[in-house]
Amino acid sequence: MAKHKQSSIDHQRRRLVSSLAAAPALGLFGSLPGLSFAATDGGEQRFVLVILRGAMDGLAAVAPYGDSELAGLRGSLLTPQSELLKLDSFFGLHPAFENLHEMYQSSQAVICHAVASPYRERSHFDAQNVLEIGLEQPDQTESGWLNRCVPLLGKSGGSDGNSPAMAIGQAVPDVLKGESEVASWAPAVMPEPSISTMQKLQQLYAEDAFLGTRLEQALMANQVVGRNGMTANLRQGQSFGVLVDAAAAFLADASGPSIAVLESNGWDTHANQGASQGQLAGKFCELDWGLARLKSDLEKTWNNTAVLVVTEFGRTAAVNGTQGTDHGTGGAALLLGGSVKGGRIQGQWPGLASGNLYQGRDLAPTTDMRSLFKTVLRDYLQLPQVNIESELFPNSADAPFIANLV
Amino acid sequence: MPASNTSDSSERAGYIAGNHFGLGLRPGELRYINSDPRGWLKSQLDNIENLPASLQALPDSSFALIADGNWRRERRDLMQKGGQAAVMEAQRDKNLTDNKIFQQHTSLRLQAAVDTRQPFAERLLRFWSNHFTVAVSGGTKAVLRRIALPYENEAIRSKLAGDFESLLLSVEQHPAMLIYLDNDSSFGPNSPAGRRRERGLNENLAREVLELHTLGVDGGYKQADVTSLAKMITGWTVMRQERGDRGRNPGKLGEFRFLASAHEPGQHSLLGKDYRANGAGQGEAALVDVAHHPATARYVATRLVSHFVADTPPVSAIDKIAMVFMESEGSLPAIHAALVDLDEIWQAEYRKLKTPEELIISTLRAMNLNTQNSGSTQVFNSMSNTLSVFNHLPFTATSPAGWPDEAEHWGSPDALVKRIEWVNQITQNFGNRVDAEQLAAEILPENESLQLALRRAESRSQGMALLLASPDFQWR
Repeated sequence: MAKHKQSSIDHQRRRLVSSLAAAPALGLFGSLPGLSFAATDGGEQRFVLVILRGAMDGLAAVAPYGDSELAGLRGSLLTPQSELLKLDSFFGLHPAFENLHEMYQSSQAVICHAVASPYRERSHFDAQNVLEIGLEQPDQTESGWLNRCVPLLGKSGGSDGNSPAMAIGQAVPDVLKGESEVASWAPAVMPEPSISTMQKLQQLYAEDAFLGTRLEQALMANQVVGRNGMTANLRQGQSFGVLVDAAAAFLADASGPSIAVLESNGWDTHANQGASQGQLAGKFCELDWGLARLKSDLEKTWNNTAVLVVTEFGRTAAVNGTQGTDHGTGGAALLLGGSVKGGRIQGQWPGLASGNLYQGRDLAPTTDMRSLFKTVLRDYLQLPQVNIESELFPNSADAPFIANLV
Repeated sequence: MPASNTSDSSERAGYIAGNHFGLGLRPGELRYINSDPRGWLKSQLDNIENLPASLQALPDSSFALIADGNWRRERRDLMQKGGQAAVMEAQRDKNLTDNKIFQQHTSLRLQAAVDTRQPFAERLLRFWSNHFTVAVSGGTKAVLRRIALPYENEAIRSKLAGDFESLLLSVEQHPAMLIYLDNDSSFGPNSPAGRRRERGLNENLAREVLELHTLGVDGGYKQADVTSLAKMITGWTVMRQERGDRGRNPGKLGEFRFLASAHEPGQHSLLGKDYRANGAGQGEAALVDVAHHPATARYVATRLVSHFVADTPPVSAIDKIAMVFMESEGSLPAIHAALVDLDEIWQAEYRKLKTPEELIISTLRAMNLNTQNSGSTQVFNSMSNTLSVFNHLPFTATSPAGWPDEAEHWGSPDALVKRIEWVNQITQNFGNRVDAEQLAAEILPENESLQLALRRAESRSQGMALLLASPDFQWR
């Protein structure tokens, strides 16, 4: 994938929280008077946290095709076993994850299944808050765990307007909010209208020769036939791609941040989520494409980069009444990078038999998401265990460190 | 051209007055318009020069220019004391402040348009401000960030009850225009200052006066006329700092000044007429003649009709306005009233695609936002961001020709999608409080397919998105 550092950075709505607000961003980090980081070599560790908001369906992304209950639960949402990209004799990736599969095969990806934060209710908002603040209940603190980890990184930050951590997206997410200053960047991309809104507008515009033609042109340009014959919405793909490009450009700069948080929205597939093709397949495609792009953008530092992809919770094991899935509990997470101990599935499989499901409906969680966070911070970013357990994830004894992850 | 058969009291006329001549109807506003749409429009011409409430606290441009002069002096001192690094640091702070002020001005200007009860007057102001564009830039012109909005009110708004001649003179002698089009650095080559400093003419302002402000590019002038006018307006400059020669070159700090020592001596001719040496009066006499030239009447009429009627302006309408221009000797109220009386406008087949700024203003008006609403400041402030996303931030046109006015320019497929995305975003944030069907009835003429779409909307905010993105709302 080509590197589009300049064009992606040159958006109008980028902004840096702090006194740097109006300075042209990237590239000037090192050259503006009074602004400099401790010298970094190319070997410094980078960490990217990708938050999939809306709850990604882990059972569709990483299908436990070896579980005999799967076909019965999933019905029309089931991707045929023959189309799955096999991980082992039990799990297979959705066919959209070509690049992820390749990374898995070259031991650069760990797939974690049956993962959940300590939150056990089913509100998106609270669940995301719990994931991001690092505590057991929502709204117990104003600060996110990545924000609290900034002072531990041993880099200059805050007062001079630079920070080792950066939010890439429309707003600073909870995980980065708090006392330490963080940088942020937002692209000039507005949230996309729903398919239903666009369809209704198409009808209205059909009566207007000038606007109707132009809307059709725009929609044509945005539709591309993706791999495997899947139709992906290019604009959607682009908007995540823009974030990825921006994150990579900032991270590749020796004087830039070492931690970036990206967000991807639109995972709440209550209706018509599709199987090997369809709505969710398009989202998988976008994610897979984005991850591949991050890897190629960060080519030189990929060996020192870890990317953790998480979502607030999983979705119901069974298909619902509108060919979708509802809010669930256990889900999947991904850990990628040039030096992760990849090529394997992390976690215990709880099984999909009705007696094994959480409250009889959701994949039961067997791995606490905080274990992933804690392990990456300790074993990868080399932060002291004592701080991790006292400041970042207090009361997380139930979420032990995972051996041999990174 | 279709004949006029529109009755002013028809329902449609009220919508045309509010949406096409105005800046978009507010809910309830139609009540005041319907009895006499043309009267409602014309009555706004009576106090067109009044400054809107949101702009009354705005400092004069002279205030900003004096501050700018002080800043330059401080910077020189700083250079001597603290060197390059100190200057850069201070410059950075200064740029941040300038940007902040510019952003505040954008927000205030938007508030004026959203709040106004005289939307036709406010549209006319914007038309003329675009006709006499100034755009911000950096370096020695950085002060434009602070004086562009004051310029619009001082040089343009205050003159809209008068004639084109005084409007033209006040614009061309305003510091913002003199700085923007470089006349403050133009020297008569044979003037004492020009000779001493070996400096010469800068034709920028003179050319745009003829090409964009008055005669129009086909107005029959030649290069020699441009050079000649440039000579006649040498010495038209800005009193940016106190000087020792105040006795010889009077003027107030921060205002227009005629610098006699930079003025090209002698008689010069423009369009075949000679103008004798008369200090600043020489250029003024030339501009007065140009202001009344038939080519100017025609050019200005064409621009007005393009703005008020259609991208391809009907010749009949141009003829009418040009005639009023000539007969009234450039009386702006007469010309503006003649626009209201153009039968063409009252016919539905003529329409204009809203510019992004117009879309934003009419959206906020439709949502009944005004400065009294709590939280409105935040909305207004965030809109300067939106305006730059649409490449339509006030005072940032890329050329002295100002912003284009045509659907072709603003309605590209990509721009259209951006509009829909914006409308969708804003209705997600605010749209759930409003019933789109009810609002449509208050601000747009009846349209069955739109009503049907609104009735079938999945949610209030989707209904609002459909309404605001609908062709009926995108055109005016």
